[in-house]
Amino acid sequence: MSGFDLSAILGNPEYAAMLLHGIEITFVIFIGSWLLAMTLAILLLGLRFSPLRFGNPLVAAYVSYHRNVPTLVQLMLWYFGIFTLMPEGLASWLANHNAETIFAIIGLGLCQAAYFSEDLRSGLRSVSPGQMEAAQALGHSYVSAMRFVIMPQGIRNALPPLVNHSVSLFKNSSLALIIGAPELTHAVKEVENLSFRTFEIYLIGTVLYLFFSLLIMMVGAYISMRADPARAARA
Amino acid sequence: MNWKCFTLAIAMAGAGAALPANADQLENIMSAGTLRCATFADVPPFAAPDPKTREMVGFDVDLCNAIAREMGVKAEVKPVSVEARVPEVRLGRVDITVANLAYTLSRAEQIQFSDPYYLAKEMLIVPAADPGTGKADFVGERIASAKGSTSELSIRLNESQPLTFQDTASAYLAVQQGKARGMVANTMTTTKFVNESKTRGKEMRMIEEPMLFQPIGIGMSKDQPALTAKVNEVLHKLDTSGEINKIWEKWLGQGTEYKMTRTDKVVPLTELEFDPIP
Repeated sequence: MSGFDLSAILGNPEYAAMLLHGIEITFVIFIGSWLLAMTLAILLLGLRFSPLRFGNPLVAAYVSYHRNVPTLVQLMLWYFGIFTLMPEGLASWLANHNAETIFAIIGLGLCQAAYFSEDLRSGLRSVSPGQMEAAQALGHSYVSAMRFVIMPQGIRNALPPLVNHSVSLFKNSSLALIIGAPELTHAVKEVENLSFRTFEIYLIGTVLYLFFSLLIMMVGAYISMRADPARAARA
Repeated sequence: MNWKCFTLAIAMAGAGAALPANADQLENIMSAGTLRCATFADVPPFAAPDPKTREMVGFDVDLCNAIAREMGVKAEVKPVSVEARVPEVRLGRVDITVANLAYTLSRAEQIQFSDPYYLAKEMLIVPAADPGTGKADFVGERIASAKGSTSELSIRLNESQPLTFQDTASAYLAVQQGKARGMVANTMTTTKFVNESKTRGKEMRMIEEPMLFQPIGIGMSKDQPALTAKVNEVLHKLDTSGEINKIWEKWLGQGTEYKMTRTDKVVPLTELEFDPIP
């Protein structure tokens, strides 16, 4: 085996295609689960702030399950466990339509929703209750105060943790390899296996993850800046 | 030190060490009266130290001793690491390597293989109701296996789609749940799963045609025709006399936990029809 040689991997069209496909699936999982997580997080938040008696404990239970059970176990439970409870027709449809990727999206999305909903809640909670009282004293209704006073500040406060958790969601997409989803880490291991160029391929994998994670952080920083021009001007 | 310099140094060291092997190695073995034989260091039942006697014992050790006896010399067993099985022969530090060594094209470029004495197989198992009969029926289909295994390679070579997991148990589960049409593993593992499926879960059956053959042979230096001829001659003799089967029975046969039957004969590689592993 000759020395360190990145071109042995990057110059090989077969390996490059495997890596590209891996990146594609990683993004399918990341974007799919991010959208699922954000939608659910908003629903959970609504439930938490609703006057329903069981709303709060229900959401609290959801959050503690998803935050206290390893994501890996949750993924396995979905792929190997809950799959068997599904009706025959749905199960065989899933099996023929990349069940691995779909379950990765569901598993990661449900898990991340717990984190996202807590980020949003802490953002809203950090707005002092006095603001609501002041807004109402100035003639705003509850809804109007939420819309114009509380929400803009709350979401702005929630942005940094949301970006952090988005990056962790991106990194956690690598867990999907345990259920056989052909994402980037899966592709990296595959190339390693075929090429025996362990150092080179893991280095490439590392650089790719680092690049995309930083990209997500930069997008996040840009959005935070747009949401809070005053803070951006101070910085 | 830069990489090129490092590679050059390694290559030169290799060339230097290989020089003495240019003489007729068979003559050297006969005159020294010892056959230096590389085996695994700790892979039961092939070669591992016996906890009581601290001697190396196992199938490969016994086979090595039998070969030396036939040649009229004494065997000197040298345990080596799994990765060193090929380089040790190449560098001339041992005469032969008997370490469950599967024939692959990249290994065959570096060392000479004897006629294989066993054919390891990768087998495909599918649910009993599956209509497929040969591996050609599974081209383009999803087949499960353990990740990074020869099994995965065999799925690729068959142009099926591999669905891979960290272990064979997950791969088996995926087939049981209908996520893949079949799974591939070695004969030992697939036999176990087929037997297990008769009592619980979906019943499975084995596709008779192996996905992949891995002829297991003895490795030795290239360009030593006398030695190669001698080793092959000895292997054929040990096979006909039933000696190899006897050693097999002792370490891998029905009386052991492996319960494997050796049905293969020692035959030249050229007589085998198989797709060699790259």
